[in-house]
Amino acid sequence: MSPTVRGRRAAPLATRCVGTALVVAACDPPAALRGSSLQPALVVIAALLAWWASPMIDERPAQTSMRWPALAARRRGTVMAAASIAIAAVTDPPVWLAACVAVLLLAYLLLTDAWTTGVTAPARRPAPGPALVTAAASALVLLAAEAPLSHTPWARLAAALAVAATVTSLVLVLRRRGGGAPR
Amino acid sequence: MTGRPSPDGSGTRPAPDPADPRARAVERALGGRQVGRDGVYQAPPEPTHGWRVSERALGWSTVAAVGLAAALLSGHAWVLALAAIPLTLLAVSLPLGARPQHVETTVEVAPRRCFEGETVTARITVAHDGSVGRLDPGITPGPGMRVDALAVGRARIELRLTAERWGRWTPGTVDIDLYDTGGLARRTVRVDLGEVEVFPLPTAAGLTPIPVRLPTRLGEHASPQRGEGIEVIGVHPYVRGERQRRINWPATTRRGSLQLHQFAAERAADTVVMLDVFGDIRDPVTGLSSLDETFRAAAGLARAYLSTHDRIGVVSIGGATRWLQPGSGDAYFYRIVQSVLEVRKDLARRGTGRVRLPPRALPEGALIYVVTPLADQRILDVLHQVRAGANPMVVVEIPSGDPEVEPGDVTAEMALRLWRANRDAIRFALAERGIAVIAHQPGQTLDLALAPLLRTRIHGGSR
Repeated sequence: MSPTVRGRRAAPLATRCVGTALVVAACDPPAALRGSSLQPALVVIAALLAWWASPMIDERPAQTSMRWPALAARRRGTVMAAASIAIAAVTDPPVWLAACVAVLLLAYLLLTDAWTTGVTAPARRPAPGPALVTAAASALVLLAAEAPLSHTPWARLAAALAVAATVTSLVLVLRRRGGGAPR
Repeated sequence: MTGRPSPDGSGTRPAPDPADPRARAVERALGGRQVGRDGVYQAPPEPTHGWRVSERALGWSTVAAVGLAAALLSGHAWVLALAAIPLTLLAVSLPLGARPQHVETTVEVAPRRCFEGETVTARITVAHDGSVGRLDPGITPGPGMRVDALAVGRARIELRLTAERWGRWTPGTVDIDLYDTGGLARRTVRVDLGEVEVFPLPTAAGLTPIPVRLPTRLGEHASPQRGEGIEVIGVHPYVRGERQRRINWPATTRRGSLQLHQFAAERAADTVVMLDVFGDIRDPVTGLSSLDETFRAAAGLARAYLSTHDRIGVVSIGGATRWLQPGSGDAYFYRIVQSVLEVRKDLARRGTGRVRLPPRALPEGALIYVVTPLADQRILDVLHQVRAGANPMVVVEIPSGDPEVEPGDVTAEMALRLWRANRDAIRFALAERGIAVIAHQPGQTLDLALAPLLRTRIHGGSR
């Protein structure tokens, strides 16, 4: 068996593990264990749902049904990722756990990206560049968010710099790439 | 085992082996197609033109939007770090080159004519301006077609299909999704693969029973008439001018006068195969279609008679009456089949009126084979018309299986008994009129059914 095939056969298990870990981390398990007896049960239920929902859906974008249950089932990976962010925003875990959630979210989005890991994707190994750039961007935002500037006079300067950096990055990206109609 | 219904409705397509990426690629390309009531894949609606957002971009945008909304609603700035992940992925996936605006496709399908079970290869070449990241084909196979393999290159798609059922079909349509280099937008182009003619696989047959009277045409069958063949049928007194090498010396010695061999004339038979297209009955047990088996048996008969240099024609009754006068030669087999390839379409517009046979379709004295499941009462009227023409006739019965009856359903069991009795009565009535009825079992050689007819020549009726 070729390494590529072996890797693709192992992918569903890895995706399930990462997806379940993402949801569990977003639920802030240390706080859930300290809370009422209902909270650990909810975490377990969320983990079970995540185990079911996390494998990649590698199907052609064919219109099958416009009913919400069918759409949600088809896009359950996206729903799960979005739900984990919402849960994390509600539970507000400590910084180390927030960093874990960010890493797991990045890993999950990359693992379930059919463009690079689907059955019709090229056999070559995906380039590490986008993952590293994304991780760096997320880390930067996390550090900026956790910097103790919010109640100091430097807060406005930091916010202005962040906005300027974001706009500059967007302009650079759009000018270098674009993808519009041929001129 | 899980799977989707196969296009012929006879069973289920087995689930692809997870370890085989080629099988999974085929399954993916077939995904999202609705299977109709007749077991045929239904093509999705005509795709919209122009570029639209891909599922990759849609998924990441959704996650980013939820992240931004969660950050705003909760007031936790660190949640923006989670929203930054899909946003950065979107940014780094923006396409590097211009998206194509003009796309042209070229289709090559080979062969356009084949037999059941043979492979048809379709090659689609995509030409475009700008840059394209990947081609993603979605296949809607035509009726009677099975997709075996799919190979996708940068600008070329190759499909390998197997023709499973005879007919004039389209191999299918292919919706090709062209993605930009980052996979964030796609555009769909529909490609029609045209039409192929799938000939039925003839049932194995070698025996060619012949009628008593043969037309005066040179052939391979010894006729009772005197002629110039090689089969000795008697002796006759020498007549001045006859060839001396034909002298039969034992008879000459016994009779005391010169006796010569008398040879049989060798004639070709005229045969017409009549196809019952009044209906298509699927055997509840085996799933076999009576129409498919009718055609395979008819093709076997045609090939057997053509191989002995006889003339054979065809008439299909039910819907539009199609017919072809008897002819000979190997190439005539294909003309015969082509003339009736579209009878499957007649099933939708069959009427209830009386069927009139075209007089020129049944030459005088031609042996008529009626291949029928004997399921429609109107075939009896046709048989009477043929019999009125005094043509020798053989009915080849194609078994259609008994209707399914649930255990314990007394009414259904009684109906099944009546149904069987009705069929027995039909066979008995035909035999009483001197019409030979033989039963062909699908999968077996036709010679097993035809062999009893070789004991004697087939007699025609009286006008």
